[in-house]
Amino acid sequence: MTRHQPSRRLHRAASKLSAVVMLFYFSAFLLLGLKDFAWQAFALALAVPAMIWLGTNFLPRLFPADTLLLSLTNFLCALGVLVLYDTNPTYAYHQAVYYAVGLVAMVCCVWGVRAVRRWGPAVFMLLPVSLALLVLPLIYGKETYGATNWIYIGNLSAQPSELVKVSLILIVSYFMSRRLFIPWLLFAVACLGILMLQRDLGTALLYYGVTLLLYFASSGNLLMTGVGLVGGAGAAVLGYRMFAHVKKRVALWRNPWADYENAGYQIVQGLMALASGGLIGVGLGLGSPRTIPVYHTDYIFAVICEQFGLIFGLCVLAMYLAILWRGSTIAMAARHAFHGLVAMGATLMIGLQTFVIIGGVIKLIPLTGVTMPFVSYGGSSLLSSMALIGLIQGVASINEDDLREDLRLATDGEEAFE
Amino acid sequence: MKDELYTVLALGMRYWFTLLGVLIVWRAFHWLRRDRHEKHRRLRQLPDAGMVGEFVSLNDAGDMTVDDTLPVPREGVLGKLYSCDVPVLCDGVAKYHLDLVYEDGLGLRVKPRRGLTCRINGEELTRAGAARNGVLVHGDVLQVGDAALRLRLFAGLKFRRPARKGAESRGRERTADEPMTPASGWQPSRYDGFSDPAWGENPADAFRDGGEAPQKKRKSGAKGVKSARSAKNSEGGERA
Amino acid sequence: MKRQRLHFKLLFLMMAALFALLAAFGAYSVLTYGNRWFASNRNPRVRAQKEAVIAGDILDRQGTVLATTAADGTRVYQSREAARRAVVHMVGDPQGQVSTGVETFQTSYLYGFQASFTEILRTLLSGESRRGDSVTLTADSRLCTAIVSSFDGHSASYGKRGAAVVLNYRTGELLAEISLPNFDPNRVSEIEATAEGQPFWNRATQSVYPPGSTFKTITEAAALRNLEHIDAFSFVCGETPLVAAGHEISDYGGGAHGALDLTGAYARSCNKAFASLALQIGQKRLLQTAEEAGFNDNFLFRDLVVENSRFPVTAADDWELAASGFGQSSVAASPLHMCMIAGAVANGGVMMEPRLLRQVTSPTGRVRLRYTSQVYRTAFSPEIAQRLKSDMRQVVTNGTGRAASVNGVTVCGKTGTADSTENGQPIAYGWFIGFADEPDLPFACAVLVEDIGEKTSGGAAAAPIAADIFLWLRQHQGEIVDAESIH
Repeated sequence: MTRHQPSRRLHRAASKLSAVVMLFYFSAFLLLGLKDFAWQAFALALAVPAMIWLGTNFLPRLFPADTLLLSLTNFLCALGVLVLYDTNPTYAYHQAVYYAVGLVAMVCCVWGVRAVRRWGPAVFMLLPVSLALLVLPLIYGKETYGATNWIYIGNLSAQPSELVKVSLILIVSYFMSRRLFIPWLLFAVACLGILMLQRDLGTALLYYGVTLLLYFASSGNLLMTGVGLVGGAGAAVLGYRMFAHVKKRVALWRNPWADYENAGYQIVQGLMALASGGLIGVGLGLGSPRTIPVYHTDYIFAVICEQFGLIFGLCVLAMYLAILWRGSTIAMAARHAFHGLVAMGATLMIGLQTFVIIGGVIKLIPLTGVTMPFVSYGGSSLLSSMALIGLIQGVASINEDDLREDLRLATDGEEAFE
Repeated sequence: MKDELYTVLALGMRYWFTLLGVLIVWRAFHWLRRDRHEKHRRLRQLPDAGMVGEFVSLNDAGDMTVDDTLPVPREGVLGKLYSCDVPVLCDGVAKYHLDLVYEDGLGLRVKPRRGLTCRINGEELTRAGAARNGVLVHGDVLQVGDAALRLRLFAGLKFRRPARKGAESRGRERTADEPMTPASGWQPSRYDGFSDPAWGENPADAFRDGGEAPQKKRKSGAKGVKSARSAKNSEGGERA
Repeated sequence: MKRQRLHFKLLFLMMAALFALLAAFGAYSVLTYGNRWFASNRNPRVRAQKEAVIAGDILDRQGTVLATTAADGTRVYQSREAARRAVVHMVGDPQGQVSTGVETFQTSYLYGFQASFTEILRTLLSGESRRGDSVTLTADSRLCTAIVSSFDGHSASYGKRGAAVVLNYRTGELLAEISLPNFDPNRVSEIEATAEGQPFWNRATQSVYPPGSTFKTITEAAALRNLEHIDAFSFVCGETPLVAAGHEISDYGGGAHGALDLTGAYARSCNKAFASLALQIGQKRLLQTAEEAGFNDNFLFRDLVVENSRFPVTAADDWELAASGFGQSSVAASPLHMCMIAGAVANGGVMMEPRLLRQVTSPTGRVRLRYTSQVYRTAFSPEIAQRLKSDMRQVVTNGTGRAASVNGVTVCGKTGTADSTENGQPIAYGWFIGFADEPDLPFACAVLVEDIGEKTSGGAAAAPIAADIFLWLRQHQGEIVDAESIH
């Protein structure tokens, strides 16, 4: 752990951005508070900006954090809390707790990435643990929303496939950086197979996408990547024919109004919400967000677009893009192939997940069962997103350390920069 | 009445929230752009960032001439293609020939790709044997295809000198069994710290305790100095 | 590592492109389809707003109030039952059973969703309840009533189901949109959607029918465009049927027309002649002409929801191609689209976008929207349109459309009798599409009569209704057409 003082210039940039973010949430919660004069809203109006301020100013003291990434993540998580408070305050309180746990997870991931020197034994341990976690819902879980990927312990529920995302990236990156293609292939096929058995096709799509893209990044073998793509497309077609509910989903995608009463209801309500929002939205606290099914998880983007408008929805999309940009930059600046792949893998995971869910909400692609990173309600989802960011932050901090080391070597202790 | 007041207020605030959202996005991308400039600036001042040393070619082979330097990254691939981290453009070198990884405290680990070989200080190295003795340290000569490359590691990097048959633990005497001699002859003045190609003279002076190489990482020094490839080293005078 | 970095950059660019796609698709969808999604009668936001806002009025082009909100909040329609029944498919009903009526489709205006922030503020401060905007339609309710009574008068021998559309072919304004059977919007709760004849269904825009011989207009346009020596075209229509891919093609009633040139074949509506023309033109070129006239297009008109018209992209065999020639293959079009085609012929080949909204006014009298006429597409070249026009005149003067002629109006048109099946039973549709070739009566119409039976033809069933339409237009000429409409 090194004491780290961010340079003054960056500090100014950070404080400007976080100031605007704090202002946004202060005014938003204040407005919501005026609706019912509930003290919780006013408390949140002070607490959320305070947490953001703490996040941008104190966390970087623990490790050389990437403050931009922190700011963006904070913004999105707080957006989730805001929208959830608007629709269902209980969810908001849960989400705040999950966020705290997520922060801890993020810091753990950062320390993990920095601390582990030899990844071989670590991966060796992670591999069976991941597979076991993935298999757990098959033995112990219950079926929800057509997929068996939840487990219930007491009255807590968790989605192991979300948590395994993190170890997937670590394991896949390890194998790819050491060019051990056979173990990589076996592991990937095993994961996908288990997910297929659980009928969690959305997560399977994500796993598959990230693995294939990381393969392309590390090996550059266009031929094999093409084969992988074709194989994936073939599997998709096979899935379409084999699984009835896949057929249904695709049919709903083409024309959700046909089955408005049952299955299409969700999509149509989402579209109506999008349309009602117009450009600047119907107003925070107005509109009827609760009429959209699963408004707290999959369709939270529709709620955001309804309340804040299309322009703001596009801004949220741009924020995700900024996270992707940052993650890619960090991956490109990594000194070791392994770190680069880890950072890129985490970035791709977040990016693909966002694309899939927003694509489903705006009816670009059929709806799948994934959630929106950071914003969606859900412990496992938020935890895994924060852990992924933790991986990226870990690599970023290693980059920073390396850079400082280079600087030290070059100047022999002199100050080269201001 | 209160409901309608709230409605009006919320309707008015829509503009405010949209504005702030756009502002946040603008500032975030502004930050990203600024960081990119900062990164470029740093790279200009520290062009050897991420490098652990360089290969110096000892002969004219293919497109390379004597004394060409190829920077060596911490982790990379050596091969014939331009997209390799160490592009060695001459015959006998495959598209992707070796994987290089610098291991702290050990040296530059060399691992040939499947079916390919190279020579370290004259000894043949295959993929199987790479695990044991495929490590290059400061001063070792790597022969790949027609090219012969000598490794220079930057100062401050620790590496372990492996015990070799007939070599002393300190200093390295290589005279007659030096396999390659540059056709054009060594120009000692160009290489700070290198006393001569045979490394024979005053080896003890050339190396400090622990086997650390005396070279310092090339730096542009104060702000504004551009080229890093010019063989300048402000501390060159310190050494013998 | 260098290679890996390059790949990372590529992957990032790919993700950025995907996100750009998301943004573009999202923005496009919401801006284009937004109103349609919003205006669904299942939108709970609309229901919520209905409590808070007094809905605006719907007026026809003469200022007659077609729908208004009473003091107690109920929706009140035209006092005369015949009038309110006639316009019900255009105007809609309070429950939204007519899913594309103005009541539902223009909720955004009627319930004040388009009010600007300052207007809402002002209303709030004044303490009144909010009102929605008033919508003035381009239609004339008297014409609608007249058309319905014309249907009633002529439908003694066949079922009372059908549709009619009248539009101004220079501007695209819809003057009438009729669908039968209709219903009384004041009694909407008493009627089942599945009642006899499906009264809630707007046949003028939501149903597509095989156009029958009216499609020969398109075939002739394709022939004029693609076939050389078309002026020398001659066909001998005898007793023997034409055979294509094993199927027989014959004319209505087995009649033989003798030697025909193109105009004669069109005026007499000879199926065999047009079948042979279609075979000569070929599937690809016929498809091209049809698509230029709007078939297979995704209609996204601003004021209307219209079911897309279909023309088969590939012909299974020669029989299907030949049948397309006289509109009996899987070709299908809505009465509105056929009316637009007739209008295109009249307007020098230029098809105007159909408009229903003439003006939208805010409660304070500010004009929020004034309609503008817009070209939808150029269906035919001016020369082809001219030729079609003269041939259509022949149809009415000495062809199958004699029943549509009106004293003092140059009526041009085309009849059609389409055979189809409904619930396994054969059914025949009678069509008439046409227009008035008068500079001060720029109107086109399409009339469809369902289930005319085996003995009647389109010329006998639909054409007289068209005649009544043009007669009414001539009689009320001064009132309908104002300076803005004539160019």
